[in-house]
Amino acid sequence: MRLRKYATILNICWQDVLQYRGNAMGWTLFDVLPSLTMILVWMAAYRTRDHIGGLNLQEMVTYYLAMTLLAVCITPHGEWDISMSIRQGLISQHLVRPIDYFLLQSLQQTAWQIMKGGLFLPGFALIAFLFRDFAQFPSLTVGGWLAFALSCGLTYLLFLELKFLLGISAFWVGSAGGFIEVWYMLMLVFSGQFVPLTVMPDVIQRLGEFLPFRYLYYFPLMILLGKAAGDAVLRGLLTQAVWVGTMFIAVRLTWRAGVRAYEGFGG
Amino acid sequence: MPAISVHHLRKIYRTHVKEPGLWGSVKGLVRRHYLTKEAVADISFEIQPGEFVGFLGPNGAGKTTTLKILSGVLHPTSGEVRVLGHIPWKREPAFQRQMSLVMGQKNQLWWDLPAYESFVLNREIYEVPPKQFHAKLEELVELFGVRDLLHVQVRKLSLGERMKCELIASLLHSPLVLFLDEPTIGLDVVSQKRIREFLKEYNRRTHITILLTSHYMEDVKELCERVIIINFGRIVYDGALAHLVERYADQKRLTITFAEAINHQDFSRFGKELARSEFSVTIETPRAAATHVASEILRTYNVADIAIEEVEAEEVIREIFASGEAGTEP
Repeated sequence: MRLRKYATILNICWQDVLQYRGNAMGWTLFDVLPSLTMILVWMAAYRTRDHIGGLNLQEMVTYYLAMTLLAVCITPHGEWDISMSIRQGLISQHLVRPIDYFLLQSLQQTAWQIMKGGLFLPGFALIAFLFRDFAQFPSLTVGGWLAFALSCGLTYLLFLELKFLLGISAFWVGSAGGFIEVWYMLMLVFSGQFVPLTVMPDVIQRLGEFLPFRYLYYFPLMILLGKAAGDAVLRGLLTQAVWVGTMFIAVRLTWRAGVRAYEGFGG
Repeated sequence: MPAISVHHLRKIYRTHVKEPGLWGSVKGLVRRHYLTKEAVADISFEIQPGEFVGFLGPNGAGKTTTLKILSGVLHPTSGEVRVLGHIPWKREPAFQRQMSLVMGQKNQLWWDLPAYESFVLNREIYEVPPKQFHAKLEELVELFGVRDLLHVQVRKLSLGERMKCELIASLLHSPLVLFLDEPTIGLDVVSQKRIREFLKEYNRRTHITILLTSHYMEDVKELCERVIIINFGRIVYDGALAHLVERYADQKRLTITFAEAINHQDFSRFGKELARSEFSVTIETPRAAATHVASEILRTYNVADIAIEEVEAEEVIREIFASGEAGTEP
């Protein structure tokens, strides 16, 4: 019964998302272009060296190709929508209905992911084909693939939570735009989307240990490349799960405080 | 048990004041000045199940704030509120499944999808059994005459059509209490009338409790036997609309049409002259004296027709707003 309820809601969200095909294409490019640019930069850098940050050229290209997939398929962008709803007072409509807004948002974002993923697959096939000589198909055991899949799932949950928190900051700051930009820069650096963390200076890597960002892209990609194995994978998955749990509590508490502070601006 | 009970409700907003200009914005970063505004000062009232109550007041009187507190959107600063026995701002699903809030200026329908999809979404959110959903939808579609619109994208509907669909969306789960915040705002006269007819009929059929805010006197006049007038966050009048005029308008209007031209005749001894044409004059006279004045005129002049009228409710309310006088019907 419950499952059917959410499936129906997801279905309606998906119909809505289909109306925004152009927009979805825009977001997909936004998600993919940084990684594609970096592949070209690294190909130039590897002309003079074999290894950079512990990765050879093939691993580096594979890293960024996989990054494009993660960036498109498990990166929600609900923060703008949430921020806008709060700013314009539309959130009132959600406060009077018997559904959890975080859950509704998550379903809506999941619909977007399906849409973006579907749009991107042919593009990814083309990109993978173009770079086929520079990349390698990951050689993982079944357990490795499972760990990777699990890690991706946790990444998605963590993303949903972090982006929700960003969006609802609008309860206090009016418009979350500035926060979102700063957050994006931090994410770019500390998640490994810009460059793999092993390439970064020590201090950045050390600092990153205390932030959730590395568990967004870097950690699952390290599993995929076989750079994290055994205990490291287990430890990583556990830490990732702890982040998901912590952020879930943060979402709950912040939402409650935000609604309390909400004065229904916009009449 | 009343459907809605409100005791000593207060809501104070705290907003920061920005000094004018760029420099004012910069200063605001360092030191903020706050302004407290009492949106709802101290109001109490009760509404019985099945009542259709109009909530009237000028902009900024506190109507919408009260409605938002009653529907659970806002926390009050103090006071006690029960809607169907629940404290609204706790937002318990059991409460939310029994009420609905429709705001004329905000839509809950999904803009890019046909209204039907939003209905289905609400069916799931409110967990309405499919059988009940179809029966209710059928009833509402019939009542509103919107069968052809169900599968049209909401953004392609006119404002009036959209409001009809908004109302349907908000009634599909058969709420016991409906809060309407200016449902006819911006609609043309015909659409306003249709919405009114619908609400009236729906209230009659289901005995749903409705609290409606509106700027349009027509809405309230046609729909509500009882009005609550609020100004500066306080209740100014609470009672039957019919009694409002009797109670507050101590004047009546006499319009006399004469059989011959009245030229420059003086009627000032009967009351204040409001209008005059070649054959007629309108006089305002104290309520108590109206009958006497009318018979005096009939006796003195060659009268073709005489009409005694109440002052318009709108005018009375305008005056109440202006004077801020407080009172409740005994």
